[in-house]
Amino acid sequence: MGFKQKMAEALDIPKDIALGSSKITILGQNEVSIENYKGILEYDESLIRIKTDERHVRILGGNLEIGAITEEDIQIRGAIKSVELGEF
Amino acid sequence: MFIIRILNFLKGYIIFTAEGFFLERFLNIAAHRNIYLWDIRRLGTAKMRMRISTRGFTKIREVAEKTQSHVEIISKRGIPFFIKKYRGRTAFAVGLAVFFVIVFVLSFFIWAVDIDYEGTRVHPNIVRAELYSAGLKAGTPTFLINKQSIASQLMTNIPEFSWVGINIQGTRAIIQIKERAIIPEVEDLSVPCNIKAKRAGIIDSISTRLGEQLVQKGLAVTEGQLLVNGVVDSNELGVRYLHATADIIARTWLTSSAIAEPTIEIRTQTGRTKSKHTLDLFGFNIRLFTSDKVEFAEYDRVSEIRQIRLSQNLVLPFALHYDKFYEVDKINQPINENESIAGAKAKIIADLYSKLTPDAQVLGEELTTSTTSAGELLVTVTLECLENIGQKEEILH
Repeated sequence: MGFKQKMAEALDIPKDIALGSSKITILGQNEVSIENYKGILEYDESLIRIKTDERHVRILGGNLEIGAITEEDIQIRGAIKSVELGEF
Repeated sequence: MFIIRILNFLKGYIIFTAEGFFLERFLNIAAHRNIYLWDIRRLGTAKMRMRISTRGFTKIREVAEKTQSHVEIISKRGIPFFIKKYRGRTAFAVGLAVFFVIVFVLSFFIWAVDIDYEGTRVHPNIVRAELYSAGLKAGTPTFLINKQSIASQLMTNIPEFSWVGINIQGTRAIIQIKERAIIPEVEDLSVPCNIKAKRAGIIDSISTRLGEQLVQKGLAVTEGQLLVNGVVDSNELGVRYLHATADIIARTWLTSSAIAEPTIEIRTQTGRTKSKHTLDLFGFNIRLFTSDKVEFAEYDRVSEIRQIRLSQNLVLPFALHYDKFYEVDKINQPINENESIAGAKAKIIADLYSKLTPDAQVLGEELTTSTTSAGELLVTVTLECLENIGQKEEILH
């Protein structure tokens, strides 16, 4: 564990603010939003791959749509089947 | 989200498609350059459709160039584009503005007065007239209405009302009225009185509770005859003035006659009609057709008034009056003697029943006919009844 991470833990500062960690929110069945993402790697109707600082996020589903996109946040809508984390 | 949608609509936005092989890169660069994109949808392997603000669109060409994609506008939405489209039509814009101003100004006035009154003792027209004189009528500015003083004036002038509430909703005034309960009339037993005969008859039964009884069962009495005396003189107590109380049931006979009409008036509609339409504008009647003279000598008239309102409570000062006139033919059709006697009898009976005391009992009726000197048929009906003929009369001393 690095110094920054230790400090953040000790001071109880949310890590998404202190370290720029990404925060993935699954809202109901039809919405996933990712804060602090780095970029879109792939966008298809049934698959979206997103790059974050730590790893990649893979979202599988049907009729996937990007609801809104800004520099920090991305909102994905559609019939979401799975949200996977890892190196893809 | 809804707020953002409205904001986007107000600011205007563009729906466009981007075509190319590096569309993910296109999105990333746009996001990186703070170009806000939303509702992004993939249409095919190399095509996406999305929405963008008008300001963002000026910067998107550069992004498209960089990622070798082709951008095409599908449609422009929102208020700024709408205004641009209709910019040349000044007359239309002025008309629209004038319309809204007129509706806005008119909404400061009362245009309908609805009375919510379920009682029967006061005719609604009297209530309406009273409201009119109190200052609540169509055309009154809402801010000039003093609900309290109008309500109290109404209650003062119409004693039958116990509560009046005035509600103003939009351009409609709703007046809710509660009627006062009827106070039962209590006889003042301390006032001395006699009982006299209301009608001539033969006493069928008499029971006196207070006072000196002057007549017995079976005696014939004339109208106005003293039946029970309220002044009692006795050796023990001297002269006393009492409130005479008694039930006096007498057999009475009521007679009335009428001439049997040999014909009957029949009204039939000829089928010819005439319509008249007027527009009521701020209380002025404007004729909508010039030839609205009704030439029929006799007619039935059916009127309908339709108030124009934008909603339940937003009543406008315009009303359409529809009048329809049906021409009528009057014929005096002769009828046979039996029918004419029956007609006269019905008229007499109705007249006699209105003269009876409410709890009277009708024992029988007798019908006689005679011919007058003019040759007309005279029908006479006599009703034999049992009724309470006692009528109290105050003793003045």
